[in-house]
Amino acid sequence: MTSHLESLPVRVATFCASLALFVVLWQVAAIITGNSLILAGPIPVLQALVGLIQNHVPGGALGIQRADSAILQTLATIVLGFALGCVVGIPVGVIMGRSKTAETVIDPWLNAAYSIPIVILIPMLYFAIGADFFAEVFVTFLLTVFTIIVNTHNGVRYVSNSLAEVGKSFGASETQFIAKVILPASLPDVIAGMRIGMGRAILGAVMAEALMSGNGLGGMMFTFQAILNTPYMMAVVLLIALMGVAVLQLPKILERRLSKWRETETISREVRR
Amino acid sequence: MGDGTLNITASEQPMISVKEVAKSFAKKGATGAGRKERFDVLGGVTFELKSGSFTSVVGPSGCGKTTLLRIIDGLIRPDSGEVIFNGAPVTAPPPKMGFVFQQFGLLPWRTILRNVELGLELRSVDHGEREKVAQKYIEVVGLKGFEGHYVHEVSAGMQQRVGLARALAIDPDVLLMDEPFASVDEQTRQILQRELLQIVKGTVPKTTLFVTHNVDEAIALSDEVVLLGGRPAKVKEVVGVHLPPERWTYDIRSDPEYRRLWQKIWKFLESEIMETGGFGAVASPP
Repeated sequence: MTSHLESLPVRVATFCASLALFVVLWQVAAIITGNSLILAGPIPVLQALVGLIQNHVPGGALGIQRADSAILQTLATIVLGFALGCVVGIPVGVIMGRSKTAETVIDPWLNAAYSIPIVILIPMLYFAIGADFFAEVFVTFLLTVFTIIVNTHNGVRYVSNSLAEVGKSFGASETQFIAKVILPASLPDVIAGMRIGMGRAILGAVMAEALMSGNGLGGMMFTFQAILNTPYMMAVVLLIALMGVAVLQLPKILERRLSKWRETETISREVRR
Repeated sequence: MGDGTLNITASEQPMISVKEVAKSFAKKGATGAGRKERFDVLGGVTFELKSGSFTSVVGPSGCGKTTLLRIIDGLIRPDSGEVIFNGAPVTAPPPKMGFVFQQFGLLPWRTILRNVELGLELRSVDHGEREKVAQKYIEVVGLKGFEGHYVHEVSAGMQQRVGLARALAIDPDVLLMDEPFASVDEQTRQILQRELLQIVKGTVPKTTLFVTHNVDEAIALSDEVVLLGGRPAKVKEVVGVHLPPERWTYDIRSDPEYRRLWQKIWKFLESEIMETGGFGAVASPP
């Protein structure tokens, strides 16, 4: 029994309808605002987007990075920063979940670091480590890693006691236990952390580019804002949004790959409906 | 001749001896500054599990049966006393003990085959070998054809068969079973009981220690029933069940010996519940 919302044509149609609604609301908002310098309507923004893709930039922004290379650069920053965040964040989260000592030592620092607006550290980092690609990757990493630690920690901490007993009774070593029980059991939380982390990675990459090197989509966005070219600036924002939609598929694909067993459990989703 | 004598001494040695095992837990929500109140669960439990026997531990709900079984498996440490298994004290879960859990404890992200393989995998048995062994025990518990299914796709009764196959797959010397059929319906329970007996007294002979609060189940399955009672709990009596070994072949519930034992054990449980003021285990006669 598959629900009607699961068939592809219906899903495409649903999406098109919501897209149309969005464009209409956008146009209405632009008319109400009545000032294309503050809010450009969908038509000038789409024209600017076409211009960006064809590399026709307005006079005030001559010599700006090409759109395709900016996209690739921003993408590289996001992916690298995010990957680093996972490589560091997941083990730290697991260690915190498994060791009371580690939890006691790390937790207050984690909470402190988690609550700081990392973006405010960008000028500091600019002077400390410069404004190159790796500095931007570092900012992206900082924005990602704490979310992943917090979520992984939570997932590991709440792995059911009965599964822990099973591992112990069948003689699992700590590493076996983590690999075969803890990680698969806390996977939904780890993936949830990744999804939030990915959103923050995009934010981190764009802000770092805007405030540090001035390259990439973030740099572009700021340049167009500086020359008061709102349609072009909004076109870049649109590109960032599209990129967000694309990269946020990554945790989803990962989840689908790693939790095949849930597919046969979708009946519970239907019950919820 | 010498061999014969050796065999007799070996079989007379108990597989497990539980010696004066005591355990207390911190009271939840205990008041008083700093000093934690504790309540004693087990107060010096002593009994032996004979090699080759099927022994049940029966007591009212909350009397510490499950705690005792966890101490025997080395999952929890006793405050005092010790458990001797195959001549050595238990300090951690021994490789030759197979545990079957009340809530099954299966890994939902694994197929039935991979669940049964778990113990062997943790012992680094190579892939081909462990699949072969797992397959064998899946057949023993009657789940052939379900190897590729995930746990949530099969019934509770089948899930516990997976739990049993997983415990058997590590070729244990003793099976420890913690109210294994408490979460399945009554019909399935009776079928599982019969099948369990056929396995541990037939196809795959195993010494078994079985925890339950169900009187009927204890008599139907066991050679000996250990009655646990009091607060803290101690062994009150060990009752021998003198019913024919191949019980799955006829209706033991009409046997006068069964009726006698049922009355005896039920009276014990009733008086325990009255004495300790608990409202836990209430069963009805079959």
